[in-house]
Amino acid sequence: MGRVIVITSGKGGVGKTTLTANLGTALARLGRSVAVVDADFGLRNLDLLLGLENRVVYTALEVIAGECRLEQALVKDKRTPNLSLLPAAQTRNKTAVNPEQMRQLMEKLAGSYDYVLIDCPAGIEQGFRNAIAGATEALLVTTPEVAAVRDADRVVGLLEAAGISSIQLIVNRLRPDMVTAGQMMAVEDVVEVLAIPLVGMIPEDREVIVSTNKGEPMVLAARPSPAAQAIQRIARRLEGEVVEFPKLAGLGESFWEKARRFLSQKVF
Amino acid sequence: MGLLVGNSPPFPKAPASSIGVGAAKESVYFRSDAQGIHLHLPTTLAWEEVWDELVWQLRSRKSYWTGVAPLTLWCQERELELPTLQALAVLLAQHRLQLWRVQTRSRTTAIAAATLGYSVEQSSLLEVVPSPPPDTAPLYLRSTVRSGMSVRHRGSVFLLGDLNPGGEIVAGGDIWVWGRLRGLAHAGAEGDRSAVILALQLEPTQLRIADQVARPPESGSPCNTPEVVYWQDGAICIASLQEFLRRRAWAELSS
Repeated sequence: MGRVIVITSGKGGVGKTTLTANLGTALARLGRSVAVVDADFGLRNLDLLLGLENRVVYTALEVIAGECRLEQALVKDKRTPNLSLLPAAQTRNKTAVNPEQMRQLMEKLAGSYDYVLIDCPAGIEQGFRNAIAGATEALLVTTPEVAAVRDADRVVGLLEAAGISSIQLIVNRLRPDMVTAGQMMAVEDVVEVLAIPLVGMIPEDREVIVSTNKGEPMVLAARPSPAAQAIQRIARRLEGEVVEFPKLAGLGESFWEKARRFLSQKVF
Repeated sequence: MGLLVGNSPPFPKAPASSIGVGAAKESVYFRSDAQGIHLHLPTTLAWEEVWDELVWQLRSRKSYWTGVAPLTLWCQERELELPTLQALAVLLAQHRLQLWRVQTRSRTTAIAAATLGYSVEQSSLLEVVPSPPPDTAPLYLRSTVRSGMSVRHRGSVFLLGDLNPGGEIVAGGDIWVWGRLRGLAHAGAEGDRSAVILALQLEPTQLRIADQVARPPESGSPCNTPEVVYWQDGAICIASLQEFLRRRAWAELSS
């Protein structure tokens, strides 16, 4: 059985969909079979970011309704042979499916893929409940902003209540210069509040906007940008590899030691 | 240390249902008596919220009972379908609670419970305890109280973990936070002005004791020693633990 991981945040606009597309691609390039699932019914974007919009024929909704087989709905990415997308329906809304149906669907996917990455919609309502239903692990994405961290904290509570105990943190859109100037929360502050293990920190990167508009995941670039490299490192960490966190320019030397010490103390 | 600002507007006497531990009726809660453990489900909350609250309470009050304990479920008018009740029984079993009796006024719930072989109590016999007796024993929690969570208890609350911003603890007695207190703490919520709030690291959003509200001073960095929040002469004060104990000892000597 493959790992079913939901990528969630609570707050919108922190980079869930971009991360799902790129992390899925990065894992597939490491030789794993990956299915990325768009759970944002009614506001689907993942197909756009992967540049697969025009190849969507069936969606998860038709699979659930029994109008097509799962294999028919899965869109294979030609650039990345091991990667498939299960699109969401654009025309319906989040109440069109229920958690039990999602759970069964994810179970089926986990039977034939090493990784199933679920792109969760923003918010904590029905769409969120559907997205986390079939997941056994979670990647929590946040930006170093007070509001995003507050929402992320709420989401950790909800994930724990739903029985998802493996929750790892990704701090996105970090600007080391602003952290140094004291204008932005440092990663250690975020980790301190949320009290969950850190699996990645991604710097703010103009390349993201370019690649998003082109529909081409940035980890595919011949010379990956800093953000793309950070996502590739997350993929390797998910694979169990120990990858050092690079010193982001402007962050204190002892930062990671501090975070590690904090995490080893934090046992509950 | 010193006086907190913002204590002048007296805390409005809100109805018990909106603030204060009287609202505990509206959340999931456990009590125990000679017949075992009783679990009361609120009737107004959505099932998802009830479930989340229940899971959290079961996880964080691990040491509440020992061995396998028989459990009576109080559903009142809440309708529980068969799969829901089954899932609930499984969850309780994971925490060594054996569901054996269901009290309900709903036909659906009664049928589901009977189908699963539980004893069903539909009469008003059990209602000799209509409003549950206040549980004032200290509540021991080992968890992080995260944003959106609310812990309400009639006795004192002891938290081993952090109280995060957006989270709240409302207690009839004292509040001990063995961790960082960054959210909202309301001690002595039923009017006890002698209640105190104690935290290893105090960086609160807001503090309340009895009917008094205070917010922390705008400036000043948090101090890294344990601090005590207490009520004195109509104001909420903060002192380091050492100073608090020294003052208390002095007050006892001079009285």
